[in-house]
Amino acid sequence: MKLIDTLKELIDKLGTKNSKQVIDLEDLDIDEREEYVNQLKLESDLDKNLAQIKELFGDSIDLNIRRFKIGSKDFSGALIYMSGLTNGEAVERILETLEIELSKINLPPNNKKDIYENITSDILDNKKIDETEDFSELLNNVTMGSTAILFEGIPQAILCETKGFETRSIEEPDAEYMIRGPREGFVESIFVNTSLLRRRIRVPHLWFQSLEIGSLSKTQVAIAYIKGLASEELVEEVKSRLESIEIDNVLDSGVLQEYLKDQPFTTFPLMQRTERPDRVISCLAEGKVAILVDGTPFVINLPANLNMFFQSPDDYYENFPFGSFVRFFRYLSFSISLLLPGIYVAIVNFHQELIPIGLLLKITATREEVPFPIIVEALLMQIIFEILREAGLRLPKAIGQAVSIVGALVLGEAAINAGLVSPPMVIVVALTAIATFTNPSFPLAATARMLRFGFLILGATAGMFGIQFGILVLLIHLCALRSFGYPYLQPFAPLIWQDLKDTIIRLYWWRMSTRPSLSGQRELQRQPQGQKPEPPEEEGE
Amino acid sequence: MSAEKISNRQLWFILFIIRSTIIIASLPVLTSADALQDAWISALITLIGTEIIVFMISLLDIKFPDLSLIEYSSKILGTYLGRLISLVYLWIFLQVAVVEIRIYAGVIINTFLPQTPMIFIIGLMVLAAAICVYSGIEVLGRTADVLFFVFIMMILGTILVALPYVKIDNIQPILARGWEPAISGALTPVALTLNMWVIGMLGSTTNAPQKTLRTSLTAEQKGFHYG
Repeated sequence: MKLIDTLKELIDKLGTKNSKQVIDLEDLDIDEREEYVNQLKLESDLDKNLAQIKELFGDSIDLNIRRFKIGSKDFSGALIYMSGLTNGEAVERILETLEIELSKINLPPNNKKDIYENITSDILDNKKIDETEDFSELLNNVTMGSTAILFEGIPQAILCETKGFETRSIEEPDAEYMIRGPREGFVESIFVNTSLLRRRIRVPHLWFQSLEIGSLSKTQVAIAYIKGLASEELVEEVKSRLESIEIDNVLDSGVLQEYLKDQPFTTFPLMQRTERPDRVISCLAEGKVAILVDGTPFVINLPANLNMFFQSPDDYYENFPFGSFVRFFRYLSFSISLLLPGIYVAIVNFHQELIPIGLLLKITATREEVPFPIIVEALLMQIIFEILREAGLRLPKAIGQAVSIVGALVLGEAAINAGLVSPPMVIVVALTAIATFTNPSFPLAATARMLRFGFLILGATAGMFGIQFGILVLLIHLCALRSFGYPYLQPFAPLIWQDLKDTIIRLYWWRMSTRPSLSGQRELQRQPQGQKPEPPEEEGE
Repeated sequence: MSAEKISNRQLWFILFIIRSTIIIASLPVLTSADALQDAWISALITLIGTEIIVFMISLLDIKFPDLSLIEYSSKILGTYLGRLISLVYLWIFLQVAVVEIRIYAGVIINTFLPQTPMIFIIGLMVLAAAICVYSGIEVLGRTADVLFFVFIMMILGTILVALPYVKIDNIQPILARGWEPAISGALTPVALTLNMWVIGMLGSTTNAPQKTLRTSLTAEQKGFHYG
């Protein structure tokens, strides 16, 4: 019986060996490779393990394998780490402690298991130490910046956290420039970003829940919220939507954004992206949720409403009346950037009676030389403007300005002289362009840029009636939009009187004592009421 | 889908818009034809008449808080008669919608776009309405929330512009021909009480007092609207 058993074992071993030899790593596709790695286990033989690792990494230049031998005890091992991802000093220190401590211990050389346990429990003092038997876990950790330690004769590996790589220093975000307020912006490393948030909310209720997205990139994504303030359903919804995403690569949080939208075919931004920690903090404090993605400085705030895209943090830091004043003009200029060309075309085309006679005569006189109908003129100018804008954006800063000068002065002036466009049209297009720049949020301004063409065509075909129709449909569309189940036109469209305090006007800080009632409903009161500052009471005459 | 609800405020806005549009568009013509300078008395009588009808409708609504007009009419009158009645209601809704949109298109064509075929304007407006209704009752409610303020501003603007032309003397002599013309002038507008709409969207919540309030407000508008 024993003989048969041993024979069977032998055959099994041979079989596995044979099957392993049959698999040629070179020919495997990515999925098969993944599967192959997943079923691999570490072996006792150090050389075999190292050879396997080398083969899996294809001898990449950033793979480092450092073998070491400790004392005279014939106890050898190897460190495996990626250069550039690890902190060099930490790796050196591991090696040093291993050598010093192990040479102190007197153990019989054949008792490797004891030594190994000693190492894991006492000797290494890195912040995070794991053990593993799986190749896949080892490889994953090594590619994330850990150092793996393998020993001869032990089918296990020690994984030490030695992460350390170059990141950009914290700078002021270019895309969200402000007059007043903190000048820090997020960077690409997720842990720097969490620290920026943690430094501003110092209670343990700020939670970061992590998940991994991307079959190739294995990007770390964190859902940030304040426990007890954010609605649990919202957090669950965000989590389940994120978990259902299956892609290979997360290049930026914008990629995730498209998977998360409630209504995929809208031009309006249903989530706010920002590089400013103060913005994220203010959203978290309103019971909202933020998504941080490793590798990008852009953090997503949700749920968003239209009003959020008109807010700029310095509205809140500058004097109250000015904050309201500026808010009003932002709404106004958004309407201008959306509607003005369409309205101008509609009026000149259909409703000349709406223009005062003197002005009408002048407009007609300037249009005398222009050979095109007004819609062609308008489209021409709009298209030129879009091209100029894109050109200025892509060029290096110094040349970009040159392009805008060429575009504005030379093209504009020459086009008028050549009789291609009339001066009023240039004014309209220029005003529209400037109005677009007032919007603090790029995605919303981009929406206005796209919809503007629609309104232009409506105005040219059906006059003011067409514009009115367009506004009506746009309004219905906005009313139908939802961001994570929350109405998009929030304080306006399900009309919430008390939330109007922070829309077209911004009230005093001491009057904004409640959180927005839809997202912050778990704890509506933000601060006690009646904090109006007053001059000190005068004593006597 | 059944969870879609609109608030009382939104219903109020919707009713206000529906009612005052009809009244502003039709009341001066309808009342002054018979009642001449006593049209304002007709308007007040209209107000009382509509108030009574709306009150009854609201009572029905309170009686059947979960059912729509179609559902409870067959419950009250039996299946067949009820269905017949609801068909009539549907016809009325359609009729009113058609009349209103025809008036609207007429205004647009007369003032802005004289050469545009009417079907184009009507088609676009019906399209907009269809999109709205297709998106659901909640969207309708929210649209009303936004449009209400636009609407109010427009009406106030119109009244302000019309104010310089008000001549109080024009209402004299009061009731020179007795009550009869004033009452007969009020009959047609009372019949136009298409607040039946209310009941159609009754799946949501409603309170009777709010409707009465609404109508009185509406009446203020029309009373002012022509001096």
